[in-house]
Amino acid sequence: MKKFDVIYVGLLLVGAFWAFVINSANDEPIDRVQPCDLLDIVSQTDKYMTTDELARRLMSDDPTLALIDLRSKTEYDKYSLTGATNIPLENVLDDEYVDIINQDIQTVVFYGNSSDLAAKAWMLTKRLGYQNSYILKGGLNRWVETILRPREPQETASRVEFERYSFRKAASSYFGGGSALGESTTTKRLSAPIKRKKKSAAGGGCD
Amino acid sequence: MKKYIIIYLVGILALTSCNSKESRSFVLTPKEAAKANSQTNIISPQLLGDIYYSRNNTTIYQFIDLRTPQVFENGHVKNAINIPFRTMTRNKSCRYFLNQDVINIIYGESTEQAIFAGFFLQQIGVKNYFIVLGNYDFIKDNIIDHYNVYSAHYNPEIAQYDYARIVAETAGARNYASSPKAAKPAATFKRKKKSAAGGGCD
Repeated sequence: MKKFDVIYVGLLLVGAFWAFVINSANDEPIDRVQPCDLLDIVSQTDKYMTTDELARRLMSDDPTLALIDLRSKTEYDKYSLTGATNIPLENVLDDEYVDIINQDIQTVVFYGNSSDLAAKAWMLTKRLGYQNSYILKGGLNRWVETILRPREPQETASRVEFERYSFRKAASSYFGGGSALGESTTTKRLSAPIKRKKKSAAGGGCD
Repeated sequence: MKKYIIIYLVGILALTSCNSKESRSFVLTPKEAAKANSQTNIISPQLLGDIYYSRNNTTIYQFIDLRTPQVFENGHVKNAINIPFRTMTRNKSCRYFLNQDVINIIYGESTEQAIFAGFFLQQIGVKNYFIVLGNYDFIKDNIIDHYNVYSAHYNPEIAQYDYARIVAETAGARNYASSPKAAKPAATFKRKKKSAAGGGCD
């Protein structure tokens, strides 16, 4: 082997080591999927959790639930779901939250006012190969419409719908949502007020 | 000498790329994507209406329908092309998204699908697109069939309710509004002292 060959092989190894160090030092999370694969994952993966399912799990105090509120801190401070952690979308991949977002033990559920913020956060987690993450379908707006203020089904609705409504009414009471919508539509006959005769002072004795 | 330098450079490049698992097709890193403001790519209902009803501008705008071909056949925006969501990255589809001569207006079967598509394009560096909030039915009802300047305001990410107030309306088993109204103490009922029962003889 020539003297130059040894030098160049040495340089090659040094360069490779340097490249490795540079990549290791980079604190950016590493993509696990190619763009085309990401679209397949978005299309095929079960990505939504319904408000009913979430309510059910919250009511049973499910410890495997990690709720992530992606809204601003101001909105979060006004109202948030039970035990939710506030991580605005722009901070969702910050190092301090990685252990919450990327884990196998708990089911991570992203939510915002609708599904939009959650869809973005979820897509990023899939790009990074994180598992166990879901989008709260419809976000807090749907949470109000289905859980806090459930709407009574029409009389012709199926038994399943009535059972669902019954569950939602119970959930509404549990989460402090107030009254269910539609209850007032059922005409309840007001019972006629009963007029009680004023009792005359107890008489007695002799007049 | 040159030969060795070239081999050296190629070797370095090869080793660097082997070590990095990062996809080269993504322009934005995940963190950059999380921090990117995507609101600029959401089309306003007014502009959407203007584009739809203006014949002059339609040459530079291209509607792209992300739904399945079967659904697309049942109705779509006039002159829209159908690129089902999953096929966006195929070579044939890519040229539509990478064409810098037009601005693509993307809609899908749901707002989320359009959001996914827009966010995806943003991550791979495509900039000449708008997404429509609301699905095709929303566009049909509010732009195509009954358009007026107030009919198409739609932003699902805005809070539609005062959540805290709704929760505070009735104290449930769990009231998680951060500033619940203090519960009023139960009113104390004062009972009137009953007059002494009459009776007996005066």
